[in-house]
Amino acid sequence: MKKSQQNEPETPRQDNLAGEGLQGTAPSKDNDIPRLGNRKLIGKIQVKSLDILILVMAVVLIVLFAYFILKR
Amino acid sequence: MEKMHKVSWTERYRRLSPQEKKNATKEFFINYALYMILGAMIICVIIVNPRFIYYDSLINILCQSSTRLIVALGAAGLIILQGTDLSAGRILGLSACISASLLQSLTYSNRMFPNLPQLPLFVPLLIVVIVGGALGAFNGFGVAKLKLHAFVVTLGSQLIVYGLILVYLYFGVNAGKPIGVLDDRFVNFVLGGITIGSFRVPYLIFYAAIVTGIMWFIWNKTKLGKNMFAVGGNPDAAAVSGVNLTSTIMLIFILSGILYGAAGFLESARIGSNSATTGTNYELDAIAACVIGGVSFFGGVGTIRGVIIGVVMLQLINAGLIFLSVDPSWQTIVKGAIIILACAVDVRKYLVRK
Repeated sequence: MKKSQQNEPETPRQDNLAGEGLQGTAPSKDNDIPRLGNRKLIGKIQVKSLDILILVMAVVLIVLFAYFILKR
Repeated sequence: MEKMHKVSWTERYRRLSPQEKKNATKEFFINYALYMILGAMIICVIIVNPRFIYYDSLINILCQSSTRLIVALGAAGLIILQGTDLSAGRILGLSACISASLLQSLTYSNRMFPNLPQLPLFVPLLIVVIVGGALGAFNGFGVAKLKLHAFVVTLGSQLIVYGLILVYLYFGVNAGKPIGVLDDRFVNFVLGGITIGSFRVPYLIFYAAIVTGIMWFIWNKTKLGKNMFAVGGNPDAAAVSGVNLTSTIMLIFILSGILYGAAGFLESARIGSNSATTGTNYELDAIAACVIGGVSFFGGVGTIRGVIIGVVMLQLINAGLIFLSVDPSWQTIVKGAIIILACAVDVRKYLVRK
């Protein structure tokens, strides 16, 4: 029994799993770069969206005020 | 470095590349869009109805701005700490009712406290300042010690204080009636004024100016003010640097409560008749004025000058809409749009800085 156990090759599946787990928990430096890029991209999109919101609210205010003055 | 500071902004602008100039112009227009629109609105009102800039109407607008400015200065400190205060208007209302009840005219037959003798003016002022400070300390304890969110704590205290106002108005023989017919000394103390030539400036404006000066000193020249900006900007960094977060937050809340109490005392005499609705929505006006004035909801950013500009601009727009005979429902829509625009500019500035 002992011999057979000793001779039994280590299961490659376990090694692979362990390897996958490590990759998942501690991301390599290569993975950080696209994440930072994504954040920057999200920030740019947010700024663009806010620009649109500012423009829309400015137009709403100007239209409302013009309406109030013309209505008099 | 010193040479860099001496270069004027026009010179710096001239040195930029065409693309940088385009970006800088865009940033300028977006960051100052609100001021430009509000300025244009005010100019339009003046053109349509020149009575808007008559001395009497301007003094009236400044009087209305005075108590709101004191409330806004209190709320601004809390916004700088990344918090807010929804109880400001109700604390002002309670202070106004207490002041009015203690300073009713002795000749009035339906006084709330018929047997109360004539009190010196500083006694009710001291009482409402203590009440305001205590309510501020209550809010501050919830935020600083119990780590509750300022929005929730002040929402709860807003309801509690509103209940206290109702209980107070039903106290004794008053039976919920508005408290009016105030002592002449009290009315003159607030609405009396100094006459310069043919112009009369009410004392109320001077009181607001004095409070603003004191707050400027506290914000810019004291340890508490510097700690307030440090805690608001980055609480963790402030704590590591040795700033006591609990005492700083508590003191700023107490200071705000004191300001609401003092504002309630002045507002009581200004409006003359005080009821449960006194001070309603003042907190929203104060928060709106702070946001318009550039006090950031992300904390650590704000100036006294900005708060003054915000309060006066909001009051000018309010008065301008009344001068244009705009329906009150439309007035609230305009105010809401202004607040959203101010918030969007604030968040954008924060994101660009980040």
